[in-house]
Amino acid sequence: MLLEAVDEGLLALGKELRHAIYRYLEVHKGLKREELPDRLEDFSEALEGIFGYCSQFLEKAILKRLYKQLGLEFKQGGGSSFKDYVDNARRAFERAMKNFESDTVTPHITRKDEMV
Amino acid sequence: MMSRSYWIVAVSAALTILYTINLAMPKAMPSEVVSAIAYITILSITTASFHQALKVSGWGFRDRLMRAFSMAVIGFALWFAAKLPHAIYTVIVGVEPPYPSQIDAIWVLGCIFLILGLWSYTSKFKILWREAAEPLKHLITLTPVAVFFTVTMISLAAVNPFKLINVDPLEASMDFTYTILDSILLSLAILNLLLFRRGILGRVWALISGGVALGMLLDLLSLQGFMETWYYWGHPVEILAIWGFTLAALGANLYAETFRPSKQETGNYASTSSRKIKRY
Repeated sequence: MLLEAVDEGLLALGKELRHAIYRYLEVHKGLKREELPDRLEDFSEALEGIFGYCSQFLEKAILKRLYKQLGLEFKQGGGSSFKDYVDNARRAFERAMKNFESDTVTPHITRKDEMV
Repeated sequence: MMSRSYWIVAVSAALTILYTINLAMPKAMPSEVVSAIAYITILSITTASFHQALKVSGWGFRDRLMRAFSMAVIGFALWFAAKLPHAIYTVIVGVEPPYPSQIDAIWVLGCIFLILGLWSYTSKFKILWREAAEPLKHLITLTPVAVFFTVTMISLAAVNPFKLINVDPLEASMDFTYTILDSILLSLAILNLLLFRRGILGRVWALISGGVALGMLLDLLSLQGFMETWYYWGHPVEILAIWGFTLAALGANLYAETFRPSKQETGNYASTSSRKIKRY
Protein backbone atom coordinates (compact mmCIF):
# COMPACT_ATOMS: atom_id res chain seq x y z
CA MET A 1 0.00 0.00 0.00
CA LEU A 2 2.84 2.38 0.80
CA LEU A 3 4.41 1.61 -2.56
CA GLU A 4 1.10 2.37 -4.26
CA ALA A 5 0.88 5.66 -2.38
CA VAL A 6 4.46 6.56 -3.35
CA ASP A 7 3.73 5.63 -6.97
CA GLU A 8 0.61 7.76 -7.01
CA GLY A 9 2.25 10.63 -5.14
CA LEU A 10 5.20 10.75 -7.53
CA LEU A 11 2.85 10.36 -10.51
CA ALA A 12 1.73 13.91 -9.78
CA LEU A 13 5.05 14.91 -11.34
CA GLY A 14 4.43 12.83 -14.46
CA LYS A 15 5.47 9.34 -15.54
CA GLU A 16 8.82 10.44 -16.96
CA LEU A 17 9.95 12.28 -13.86
CA ARG A 18 8.72 9.49 -11.60
CA HIS A 19 10.71 7.01 -13.64
CA ALA A 20 13.74 9.32 -13.46
CA ILE A 21 13.37 9.62 -9.67
CA TYR A 22 13.23 5.83 -9.19
CA ARG A 23 16.26 5.49 -11.44
CA TYR A 24 18.09 8.19 -9.46
CA LEU A 25 17.26 6.45 -6.17
CA GLU A 26 18.53 3.12 -7.45
CA VAL A 27 21.62 4.34 -9.30
CA HIS A 28 22.79 7.12 -6.98
CA LYS A 29 21.42 6.02 -3.59
CA GLY A 30 21.28 2.24 -4.00
CA LEU A 31 17.63 2.36 -3.02
CA LYS A 32 15.33 0.08 -4.98
CA ARG A 33 11.61 0.79 -5.18
CA GLU A 34 10.80 -2.47 -3.39
CA GLU A 35 13.04 -1.47 -0.48
CA LEU A 36 11.29 1.86 0.17
CA PRO A 37 8.96 0.59 2.95
CA ASP A 38 11.99 -0.64 4.94
CA ARG A 39 14.16 2.38 4.21
CA LEU A 40 11.78 5.25 4.75
CA GLU A 41 14.38 7.58 6.24
CA ASP A 42 16.72 7.03 3.28
CA PHE A 43 13.81 7.66 0.91
CA SER A 44 12.87 10.85 2.72
CA GLU A 45 16.48 12.06 2.71
CA ALA A 46 16.83 11.24 -0.99
CA LEU A 47 13.66 13.17 -1.81
CA GLU A 48 15.00 16.16 0.10
CA GLY A 49 18.29 15.74 -1.73
CA ILE A 50 16.47 16.11 -5.04
CA PHE A 51 13.60 18.49 -4.34
CA GLY A 52 14.96 20.39 -1.34
CA TYR A 53 12.33 22.51 0.34
CA CYS A 54 9.63 21.18 -2.02
CA SER A 55 10.15 17.59 -0.82
CA GLN A 56 7.92 18.20 2.22
CA PHE A 57 4.98 18.90 -0.10
CA LEU A 58 5.71 15.76 -2.07
CA GLU A 59 5.87 13.69 1.13
CA LYS A 60 2.60 15.22 2.25
CA ALA A 61 0.97 14.23 -1.07
CA ILE A 62 2.22 10.65 -0.61
CA LEU A 63 1.05 10.51 3.01
CA LYS A 64 -2.39 11.85 2.13
CA ARG A 65 -2.78 9.08 -0.42
CA LEU A 66 -1.56 6.44 2.03
CA TYR A 67 -3.94 7.57 4.78
CA LYS A 68 -6.82 7.68 2.31
CA GLN A 69 -6.09 4.15 1.12
CA LEU A 70 -6.10 2.96 4.72
CA GLY A 71 -9.33 4.80 5.45
CA LEU A 72 -7.58 7.04 7.97
CA GLU A 73 -7.77 10.76 8.43
CA PHE A 74 -4.52 12.59 7.72
CA LYS A 75 -3.77 15.28 10.28
CA GLN A 76 -0.56 17.20 10.04
CA GLY A 77 1.29 17.78 13.31
CA GLY A 78 4.45 19.79 13.66
CA GLY A 79 7.80 18.10 13.87
CA SER A 80 6.87 14.60 12.70
CA SER A 81 9.00 12.98 10.05
CA PHE A 82 7.79 11.04 7.00
CA LYS A 83 8.70 7.79 8.78
CA ASP A 84 6.73 8.83 11.89
CA TYR A 85 3.62 9.45 9.83
CA VAL A 86 3.95 6.08 8.08
CA ASP A 87 4.52 4.32 11.44
CA ASN A 88 1.50 6.08 12.91
CA ALA A 89 -0.60 4.99 9.95
CA ARG A 90 0.68 1.43 10.33
CA ARG A 91 -0.23 1.38 14.03
CA ALA A 92 -3.64 3.00 13.51
CA PHE A 93 -4.46 0.55 10.76
CA GLU A 94 -3.39 -2.43 12.89
CA ARG A 95 -5.51 -1.15 15.78
CA ALA A 96 -8.49 -0.71 13.46
CA MET A 97 -8.02 -4.23 12.11
CA LYS A 98 -7.84 -5.68 15.62
CA ASN A 99 -11.06 -3.92 16.60
CA PHE A 100 -12.68 -5.09 13.41
CA GLU A 101 -11.64 -8.70 14.08
CA SER A 102 -12.84 -8.66 17.70
CA ASP A 103 -16.17 -7.07 16.70
CA THR A 104 -16.77 -9.59 13.91
CA VAL A 105 -17.55 -13.26 14.53
CA THR A 106 -15.92 -14.38 11.32
CA PRO A 107 -13.54 -11.82 9.94
CA HIS A 108 -13.74 -11.65 6.17
CA ILE A 109 -10.82 -9.38 5.61
CA THR A 110 -7.35 -9.78 7.01
CA ARG A 111 -5.34 -7.12 5.32
CA LYS A 112 -2.39 -7.28 7.67
CA ASP A 113 -0.41 -9.24 5.13
CA GLU A 114 -1.01 -6.58 2.56
CA MET A 115 0.38 -3.97 4.87
CA VAL A 116 3.42 -2.01 3.96
CA MET B 1 37.18 10.96 -18.86
CA MET B 2 36.67 14.66 -18.21
CA SER B 3 33.14 15.52 -17.16
CA ARG B 4 31.02 17.54 -19.56
CA SER B 5 30.72 20.32 -16.96
CA TYR B 6 34.51 20.76 -16.88
CA TRP B 7 34.56 21.01 -20.66
CA ILE B 8 31.89 23.70 -20.58
CA VAL B 9 33.84 25.72 -17.99
CA ALA B 10 37.10 25.20 -19.95
CA VAL B 11 35.52 26.48 -23.18
CA SER B 12 34.05 29.50 -21.37
CA ALA B 13 37.43 30.23 -19.79
CA ALA B 14 39.01 30.06 -23.27
CA LEU B 15 36.41 32.51 -24.59
CA THR B 16 37.13 34.83 -21.65
CA ILE B 17 40.84 34.71 -22.52
CA LEU B 18 39.92 35.53 -26.12
CA TYR B 19 38.14 38.71 -24.98
CA THR B 20 41.12 39.60 -22.77
CA ILE B 21 43.59 39.11 -25.64
CA ASN B 22 41.36 41.23 -27.86
CA LEU B 23 41.37 43.97 -25.25
CA ALA B 24 45.16 43.83 -24.96
CA MET B 25 45.78 43.55 -28.71
CA PRO B 26 42.78 45.11 -30.48
CA LYS B 27 44.43 44.90 -33.90
CA ALA B 28 44.99 41.14 -33.74
CA MET B 29 41.34 40.37 -34.47
CA PRO B 30 38.29 42.60 -34.99
CA SER B 31 36.23 42.73 -31.80
CA GLU B 32 33.04 41.85 -33.78
CA VAL B 33 34.65 38.55 -34.77
CA VAL B 34 35.54 37.79 -31.14
CA SER B 35 31.94 38.51 -30.15
CA ALA B 36 30.59 36.33 -32.98
CA ILE B 37 32.87 33.38 -32.10
CA ALA B 38 32.06 33.65 -28.39
CA TYR B 39 28.29 33.87 -28.75
CA ILE B 40 28.01 31.15 -31.40
CA THR B 41 30.18 28.80 -29.34
CA ILE B 42 28.47 29.37 -26.01
CA LEU B 43 24.95 29.30 -27.47
CA SER B 44 25.63 26.00 -29.21
CA ILE B 45 26.94 24.57 -25.90
CA THR B 46 23.92 25.85 -23.98
CA THR B 47 21.46 24.52 -26.57
CA ALA B 48 23.22 21.14 -26.54
CA SER B 49 23.15 21.04 -22.70
CA PHE B 50 19.43 21.73 -22.59
CA HIS B 51 18.97 19.09 -25.26
CA GLN B 52 20.69 16.62 -22.91
CA ALA B 53 18.28 17.66 -20.14
CA LEU B 54 15.39 17.24 -22.57
CA LYS B 55 16.31 13.56 -22.96
CA VAL B 56 15.22 12.92 -19.35
CA SER B 57 11.59 13.73 -20.09
CA GLY B 58 11.63 13.27 -23.86
CA TRP B 59 10.71 15.60 -26.67
CA GLY B 60 7.07 16.66 -26.96
CA PHE B 61 4.28 18.90 -25.74
CA ARG B 62 1.80 16.51 -24.12
CA ASP B 63 3.31 16.72 -20.65
CA ARG B 64 4.34 19.94 -18.85
CA LEU B 65 7.86 18.71 -18.19
CA MET B 66 8.31 17.70 -21.83
CA ARG B 67 6.92 21.07 -22.87
CA ALA B 68 9.27 22.87 -20.46
CA PHE B 69 12.46 21.38 -21.85
CA SER B 70 11.25 21.29 -25.46
CA MET B 71 10.48 25.01 -25.27
CA ALA B 72 13.81 25.73 -23.57
CA VAL B 73 15.63 23.94 -26.40
CA ILE B 74 13.56 25.81 -29.01
CA GLY B 75 14.26 29.09 -27.19
CA PHE B 76 18.02 28.58 -27.13
CA ALA B 77 17.96 27.28 -30.73
CA LEU B 78 16.16 30.50 -31.75
CA TRP B 79 18.79 32.58 -29.93
CA PHE B 80 21.44 30.60 -31.77
CA ALA B 81 19.53 31.14 -35.03
CA ALA B 82 19.38 34.88 -34.30
CA LYS B 83 23.05 35.16 -33.42
CA LEU B 84 24.28 33.24 -36.47
CA PRO B 85 23.06 35.68 -39.18
CA HIS B 86 24.06 38.54 -36.85
CA ALA B 87 27.61 37.17 -36.69
CA ILE B 88 27.80 36.44 -40.43
CA TYR B 89 26.50 39.93 -41.28
CA THR B 90 28.94 41.57 -38.86
CA VAL B 91 31.95 39.61 -40.11
CA ILE B 92 31.15 40.08 -43.84
CA VAL B 93 29.92 43.68 -43.80
CA GLY B 94 32.23 44.78 -41.00
CA VAL B 95 29.52 46.64 -39.08
CA GLU B 96 26.74 45.44 -36.84
CA PRO B 97 23.29 44.88 -38.38
CA PRO B 98 20.78 47.67 -37.74
CA TYR B 99 19.02 47.66 -34.39
CA PRO B 100 16.23 46.70 -34.09
CA SER B 101 15.94 44.28 -36.98
CA GLN B 102 14.37 40.90 -37.84
CA ILE B 103 17.20 39.34 -35.83
CA ASP B 104 15.83 40.99 -32.70
CA ALA B 105 12.39 39.59 -33.50
CA ILE B 106 13.89 36.07 -33.53
CA TRP B 107 15.73 36.83 -30.27
CA VAL B 108 12.51 38.07 -28.61
CA LEU B 109 10.67 34.97 -29.88
CA GLY B 110 13.39 32.79 -28.33
CA CYS B 111 12.95 34.66 -25.07
CA ILE B 112 9.18 34.06 -25.16
CA PHE B 113 9.76 30.32 -25.68
CA LEU B 114 12.14 30.28 -22.71
CA ILE B 115 9.58 32.06 -20.52
CA LEU B 116 6.85 29.62 -21.59
CA GLY B 117 9.21 26.72 -20.89
CA LEU B 118 10.03 28.07 -17.46
CA TRP B 119 6.36 28.62 -16.72
CA SER B 120 5.54 25.04 -17.82
CA TYR B 121 8.21 23.73 -15.45
CA THR B 122 6.97 25.89 -12.57
CA SER B 123 3.34 24.93 -13.10
CA LYS B 124 4.34 21.26 -13.22
CA PHE B 125 5.13 21.55 -9.54
CA LYS B 126 2.01 23.56 -8.76
CA ILE B 127 0.41 20.35 -7.51
CA LEU B 128 2.98 20.34 -4.72
CA TRP B 129 2.29 23.95 -3.68
CA ARG B 130 -1.31 22.94 -3.06
CA GLU B 131 0.01 20.87 -0.18
CA ALA B 132 1.64 23.93 1.37
CA ALA B 133 0.06 25.80 4.28
CA GLU B 134 -2.21 28.71 3.31
CA PRO B 135 0.14 31.69 4.01
CA LEU B 136 3.04 29.91 2.31
CA LYS B 137 0.91 29.15 -0.74
CA HIS B 138 0.19 32.87 -1.19
CA LEU B 139 3.83 33.72 -0.55
CA ILE B 140 4.90 31.32 -3.32
CA THR B 141 2.45 32.95 -5.73
CA LEU B 142 3.43 36.48 -4.75
CA THR B 143 7.19 35.94 -4.87
CA PRO B 144 7.62 36.03 -8.68
CA VAL B 145 5.31 39.05 -8.92
CA ALA B 146 7.30 40.92 -6.25
CA VAL B 147 10.63 39.94 -7.85
CA PHE B 148 9.36 41.03 -11.27
CA PHE B 149 8.28 44.48 -10.10
CA THR B 150 11.40 45.02 -8.00
CA VAL B 151 13.81 43.95 -10.74
CA THR B 152 11.92 45.92 -13.43
CA MET B 153 11.84 49.08 -11.30
CA ILE B 154 15.52 48.82 -10.39
CA SER B 155 16.43 48.16 -14.05
CA LEU B 156 14.38 51.08 -15.33
CA ALA B 157 15.78 53.35 -12.62
CA ALA B 158 19.34 52.32 -13.47
CA VAL B 159 18.96 52.42 -17.23
CA ASN B 160 16.00 54.29 -18.62
CA PRO B 161 15.35 53.16 -22.20
CA PHE B 162 12.67 55.84 -22.55
CA LYS B 163 15.36 58.50 -22.72
CA LEU B 164 15.50 57.69 -26.42
CA ILE B 165 11.76 57.65 -26.98
CA ASN B 166 11.75 60.94 -28.91
CA VAL B 167 14.89 60.12 -30.89
CA ASP B 168 14.10 56.52 -31.84
CA PRO B 169 10.80 55.18 -30.48
CA LEU B 170 11.32 51.73 -32.02
CA GLU B 171 14.71 51.30 -30.37
CA ALA B 172 13.39 52.54 -27.03
CA SER B 173 10.45 50.09 -27.23
CA MET B 174 12.79 47.22 -28.06
CA ASP B 175 15.07 48.13 -25.13
CA PHE B 176 12.04 48.22 -22.84
CA THR B 177 10.84 44.84 -24.19
CA TYR B 178 14.21 43.27 -23.44
CA THR B 179 14.13 44.65 -19.88
CA ILE B 180 10.64 43.29 -19.25
CA LEU B 181 11.40 39.86 -20.74
CA ASP B 182 14.61 39.61 -18.72
CA SER B 183 12.69 40.49 -15.54
CA ILE B 184 10.05 37.81 -16.21
CA LEU B 185 12.76 35.20 -16.85
CA LEU B 186 14.59 36.15 -13.66
CA SER B 187 11.40 36.13 -11.53
CA LEU B 188 10.44 32.61 -12.66
CA ALA B 189 13.98 31.29 -12.22
CA ILE B 190 14.17 32.75 -8.69
CA LEU B 191 10.79 31.22 -7.82
CA ASN B 192 12.11 27.77 -8.76
CA LEU B 193 15.31 28.47 -6.85
CA LEU B 194 13.27 29.22 -3.70
CA LEU B 195 11.02 26.20 -4.12
CA PHE B 196 13.81 23.69 -4.57
CA ARG B 197 16.46 25.27 -2.33
CA ARG B 198 18.77 22.80 -0.56
CA GLY B 199 18.13 20.07 -3.16
CA ILE B 200 19.79 19.14 -6.44
CA LEU B 201 17.01 20.93 -8.28
CA GLY B 202 17.80 23.94 -6.09
CA ARG B 203 21.38 23.85 -7.35
CA VAL B 204 20.11 23.53 -10.92
CA TRP B 205 17.91 26.58 -10.46
CA ALA B 206 20.62 28.52 -8.62
CA LEU B 207 22.84 28.05 -11.69
CA ILE B 208 20.05 28.97 -14.11
CA SER B 209 18.99 31.99 -12.00
CA GLY B 210 22.61 33.12 -11.82
CA GLY B 211 22.86 32.75 -15.58
CA VAL B 212 19.70 34.78 -16.19
CA ALA B 213 20.88 37.46 -13.71
CA LEU B 214 24.24 37.80 -15.51
CA GLY B 215 22.46 37.95 -18.89
CA MET B 216 20.17 40.64 -17.57
CA LEU B 217 23.09 42.60 -16.16
CA LEU B 218 24.77 42.51 -19.56
CA ASP B 219 21.57 43.65 -21.28
CA LEU B 220 21.33 46.62 -18.89
CA LEU B 221 25.01 47.51 -19.26
CA SER B 222 24.85 47.26 -23.04
CA LEU B 223 21.72 49.44 -23.14
CA GLN B 224 23.53 52.00 -21.01
CA GLY B 225 26.67 51.54 -23.11
CA PHE B 226 24.82 52.12 -26.39
CA MET B 227 23.28 55.32 -24.99
CA GLU B 228 26.63 56.54 -23.73
CA THR B 229 28.36 55.23 -26.87
CA TRP B 230 31.06 53.23 -25.08
CA TYR B 231 29.66 49.82 -25.92
CA TYR B 232 30.68 47.92 -29.06
CA TRP B 233 30.27 44.30 -30.14
CA GLY B 234 33.11 42.38 -28.58
CA HIS B 235 33.37 44.69 -25.56
CA PRO B 236 34.74 42.71 -22.58
CA VAL B 237 31.49 43.32 -20.70
CA GLU B 238 30.07 40.54 -22.91
CA ILE B 239 31.99 38.10 -20.71
CA LEU B 240 29.02 38.47 -18.34
CA ALA B 241 26.73 36.94 -20.97
CA ILE B 242 29.25 34.21 -21.79
CA TRP B 243 29.31 33.15 -18.11
CA GLY B 244 25.56 33.62 -17.88
CA PHE B 245 25.05 31.09 -20.66
CA THR B 246 27.73 28.92 -19.06
CA LEU B 247 25.86 28.82 -15.73
CA ALA B 248 22.60 27.96 -17.51
CA ALA B 249 24.39 25.19 -19.44
CA LEU B 250 25.90 23.85 -16.21
CA GLY B 251 22.43 23.84 -14.62
CA ALA B 252 20.97 21.86 -17.51
CA ASN B 253 23.95 19.54 -17.42
CA LEU B 254 23.55 18.90 -13.69
CA TYR B 255 19.88 18.07 -14.26
CA ALA B 256 20.75 15.68 -17.11
CA GLU B 257 23.56 14.02 -15.14
CA THR B 258 21.34 13.56 -12.08
CA PHE B 259 18.41 11.96 -13.80
CA ARG B 260 20.14 10.05 -16.58
CA PRO B 261 22.50 7.18 -15.77
CA SER B 262 26.07 7.51 -17.00
CA LYS B 263 27.28 5.25 -19.81
CA GLN B 264 28.94 2.90 -17.33
CA GLU B 265 25.86 2.79 -15.16
CA THR B 266 23.68 2.25 -18.19
CA GLY B 267 25.64 -0.92 -18.91
CA ASN B 268 25.35 -2.34 -15.39
CA TYR B 269 21.91 -0.99 -14.91
CA ALA B 270 20.59 -2.39 -18.16
CA SER B 271 22.00 -5.80 -17.39
CA THR B 272 20.83 -6.00 -13.78
CA SER B 273 17.69 -4.14 -13.09
CA SER B 274 16.33 -2.10 -15.94
CA ARG B 275 13.72 -4.74 -16.60
CA LYS B 276 12.62 -4.61 -12.97
CA ILE B 277 12.50 -0.82 -12.83
CA LYS B 278 10.72 -0.33 -16.15
CA ARG B 279 7.99 2.26 -15.95
CA TYR B 280 5.79 1.47 -12.98
